[in-house]
Amino acid sequence: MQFFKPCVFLAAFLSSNFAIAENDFWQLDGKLQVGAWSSNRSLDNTEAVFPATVALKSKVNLADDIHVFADGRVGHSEYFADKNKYAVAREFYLDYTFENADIRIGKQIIAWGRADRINPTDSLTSRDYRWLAPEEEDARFGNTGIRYTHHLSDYTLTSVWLPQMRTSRIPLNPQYVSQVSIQQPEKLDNFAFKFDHIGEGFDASLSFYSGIDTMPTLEINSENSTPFALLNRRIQRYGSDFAYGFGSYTLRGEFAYTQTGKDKQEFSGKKYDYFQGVIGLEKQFSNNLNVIVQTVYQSAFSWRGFASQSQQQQLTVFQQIINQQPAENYFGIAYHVSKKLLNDDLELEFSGLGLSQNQGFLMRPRMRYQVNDESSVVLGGDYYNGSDDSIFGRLRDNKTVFLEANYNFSL
Amino acid sequence: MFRPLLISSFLFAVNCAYAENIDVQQLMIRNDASSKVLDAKSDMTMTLENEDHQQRVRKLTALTKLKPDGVNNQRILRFQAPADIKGTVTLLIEQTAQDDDMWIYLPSLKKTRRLVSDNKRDSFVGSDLTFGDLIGHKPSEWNSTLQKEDTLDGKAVYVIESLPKDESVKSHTGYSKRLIWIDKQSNVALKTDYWDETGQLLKTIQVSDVRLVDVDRTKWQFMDLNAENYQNHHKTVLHFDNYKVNQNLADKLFNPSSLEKE
Repeated sequence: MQFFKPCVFLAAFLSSNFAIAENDFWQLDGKLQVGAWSSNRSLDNTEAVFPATVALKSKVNLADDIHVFADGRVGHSEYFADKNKYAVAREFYLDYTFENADIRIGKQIIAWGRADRINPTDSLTSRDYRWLAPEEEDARFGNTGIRYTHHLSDYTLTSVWLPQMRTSRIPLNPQYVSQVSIQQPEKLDNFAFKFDHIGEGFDASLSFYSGIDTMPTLEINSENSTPFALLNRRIQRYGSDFAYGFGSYTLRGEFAYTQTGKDKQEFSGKKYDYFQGVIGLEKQFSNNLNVIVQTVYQSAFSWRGFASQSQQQQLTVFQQIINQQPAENYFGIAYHVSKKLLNDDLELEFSGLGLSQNQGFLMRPRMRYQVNDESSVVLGGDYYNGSDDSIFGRLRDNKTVFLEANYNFSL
Repeated sequence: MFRPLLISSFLFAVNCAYAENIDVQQLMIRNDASSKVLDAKSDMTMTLENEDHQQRVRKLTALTKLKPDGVNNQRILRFQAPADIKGTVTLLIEQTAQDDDMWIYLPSLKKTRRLVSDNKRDSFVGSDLTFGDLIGHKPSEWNSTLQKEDTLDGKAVYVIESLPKDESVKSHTGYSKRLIWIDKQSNVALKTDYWDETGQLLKTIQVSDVRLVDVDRTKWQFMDLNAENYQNHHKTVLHFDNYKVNQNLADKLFNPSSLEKE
């Protein structure tokens, strides 16, 4: 029975393609991934994990301007950090392009933000931070809805409505797992707008989002089935970003002000209203060396700390770490250095983030080697450090080293 | 006693007359314009070969369209294979008076990112061509002199030496000298030798199967390109298929926001 779901998914995936194979209007690309990880990312102290997955992407061209796109994963439950999960449809949408606009209907990943990897305006993307994917982007999955984009020369207006939105999944310490239930969001109407300039000289956007916060908060459970619940509260987010290139530099910035609706006197696990900003410089050195350095700043409004450490206060500190609001203000420095060698067959990458207020740091080295057109290997690791009551200290048990082999194929 | 003086005077006179007849700067401008079609669509196969003769094959579709100014080009390169870079798209828009604009759409990120505009010396997807080679080197940034007239593969050519006008051009392109064999008939550069910043011979790019693709505007395009790097013994072979000009390509295709159409 447990293999039923992936089999159905795979069958649906392939049959949708083979049904029109004779018209030669379809593409199917896949990637087989086999890995060896020293630890999983679920904070449960599981060591020596060997996940295997097949990633499938398919595009069906129904007409010149109408396409159906699907992206899914079938694989070992250890990859998904869920013993009942063997398959995930990351995207499945229909895309229709007309004169100056396009509309996309279905499950889709909508990634916003021009900063490098830390994107305060990225309100529409859900992630599972427990997945054993070497690349951060592979841990995203789509939400179901409609995206309408209208193009006018260098300007673009995007409207998004997502009646169904899944929450991001985060790793929890083992002592909390049995005490926490995941509650579905209260309201399912989520919408967003973005006004974008992308063209000669610079790129910039203004955006607005009203809907659930994909990142959950840990709160006392009012339904009493478990002591705690992971909830996704509604937020309103006003965002802006830009990218400007000059010479061998690109300046990027991204800012968002988020209203959570938390009352100033309210004592709960809800997030405080906050401002988050990222600004950084990318420098392209000669010989394919690329360096990005960004500063990160976050300020939580009406934030309240604690002088002593009672049990209740310890819970609050933990809630604030989950909410990534451990202090009223904090800074961070993020870096991302990559170097390509051997005519791009070998890529070395080193990235990380360090936070002020004793919130610890993260380092992520990666080495990718392209053996041939089909095969590649990735060697890497994640290293977290910090005190127990810090954002990265809480993730210390997720330290891992991995080796992954990939085989790409097309049909 | 008088003979050497007479001979040198005669040679000087001949050189002056030669220089008057051939405006090298105009020749370089004609070379730059020789392949600038109004628009074009083609398939490209790029084969990379390392010194152990291991090959990697990249397949692309290319779209180009001349901007209304008739000088600057817009280029889209969309990767079709191999699977690990399939769906990656680059857009390059030349700018005469300012830095060029460049974007890349990476399907894994689901985002179109503005690239550092001054990366002309960087290798294009691991090949022996730089972004600068791909865009073309602006004649105004180089001091060019005619070295001689010659023949190459049976074609009459001018051999031009091009030196960067200043250190900035040298640094941005990565070249301290280029020696260019320009076909007298088509104005296409049939062969170019490149020297790196330290003055060492770096590579040779040679093109063949040069075709008159737009008779009305007298535009030419090579169908095959061979690049050989003498320092790392790496080779790149580029072949064009289905090269079609004057396709009335829509402007919106060259809008960065349209790159994400997978």
